[in-house]
Amino acid sequence: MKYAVDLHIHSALSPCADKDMTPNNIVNMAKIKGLDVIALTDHNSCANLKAVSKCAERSGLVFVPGMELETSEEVHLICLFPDVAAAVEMQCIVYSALPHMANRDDIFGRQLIMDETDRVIAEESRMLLSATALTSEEAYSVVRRLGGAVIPAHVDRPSNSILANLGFIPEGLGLKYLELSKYCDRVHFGVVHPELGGYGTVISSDAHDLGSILERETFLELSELSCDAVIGCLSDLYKFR
Amino acid sequence: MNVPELSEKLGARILTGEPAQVIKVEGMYCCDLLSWVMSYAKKGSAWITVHTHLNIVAVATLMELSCIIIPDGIEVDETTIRKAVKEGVTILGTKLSAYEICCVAHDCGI
Repeated sequence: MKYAVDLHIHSALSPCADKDMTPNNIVNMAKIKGLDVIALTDHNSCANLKAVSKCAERSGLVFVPGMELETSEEVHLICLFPDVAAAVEMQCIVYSALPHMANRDDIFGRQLIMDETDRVIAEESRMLLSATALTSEEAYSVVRRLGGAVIPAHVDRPSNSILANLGFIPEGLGLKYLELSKYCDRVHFGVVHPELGGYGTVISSDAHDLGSILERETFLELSELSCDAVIGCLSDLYKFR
Repeated sequence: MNVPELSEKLGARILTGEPAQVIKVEGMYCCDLLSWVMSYAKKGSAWITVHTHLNIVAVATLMELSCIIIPDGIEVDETTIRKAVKEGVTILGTKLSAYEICCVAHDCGI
């Protein structure tokens, strides 16, 4: 069956996101929009996954824990995990690969960590908007080891996209899907990039504000409505887990 | 000016070993968006990039660039060097910045 998804949403932990991107607001807006599945994908961090996961569970929304990782080549990869524990493991690896720079919230914005009641419980002091030391290949193999799936983010955009930064999809990445940004003309993209015909495409919102979260417009064919089914659909390597 | 001569002027190391053939440097190009390089770099140019990803070798081959110059003393992966040797692409490594490399090239008449 086909289910409506939005697999690229930022919370208030991402410095560039609106501060009303709280766990409850995100989940409730996704419910209002009629989505079946959402993923939370903050920049280089998983610190709000637990709270959003709890809110989603309460409201019966299927939740996929994720992260928008920035690789050493400044490529943005949507990394999706089978559970919060795997994502937290990823966060440890990513934090050790992030430069030790303090966030300048006057320039970049605050990085809020919240609980499931939307209370701010901490603020991430480390600058999250930065390239990590992980190459695309390293990131891919770590996510795969953790049972997750990787989707290169907004490949149609001129920056932080695997196509813009690396020219083409490197050999040896077992990618199945590419993300296109919300306003991408899918047909035009197919014409310009015939070489990418073998990949599936998924349009996500990359929402930094509540209004931008997708309506029922991107669908995945899933064997069942669950996080595992989403990961399985996006990564044919899942069976090796 | 050819690649080994430019390398010497830059005080660079040829990371890919002695080039099999002497290639003339016909211009300079500096850019780190590989898609951009694939659209705008001119044949025969020496290409300065901070990227060390394997894909730089394919881009240099595709655009028939004379060599790749990695600035700022950045280390290059063994995988990338091996691929470059296999494809006959010369990679130079230097401690100079991209700007300093361009200045030297300009002084050499490139």
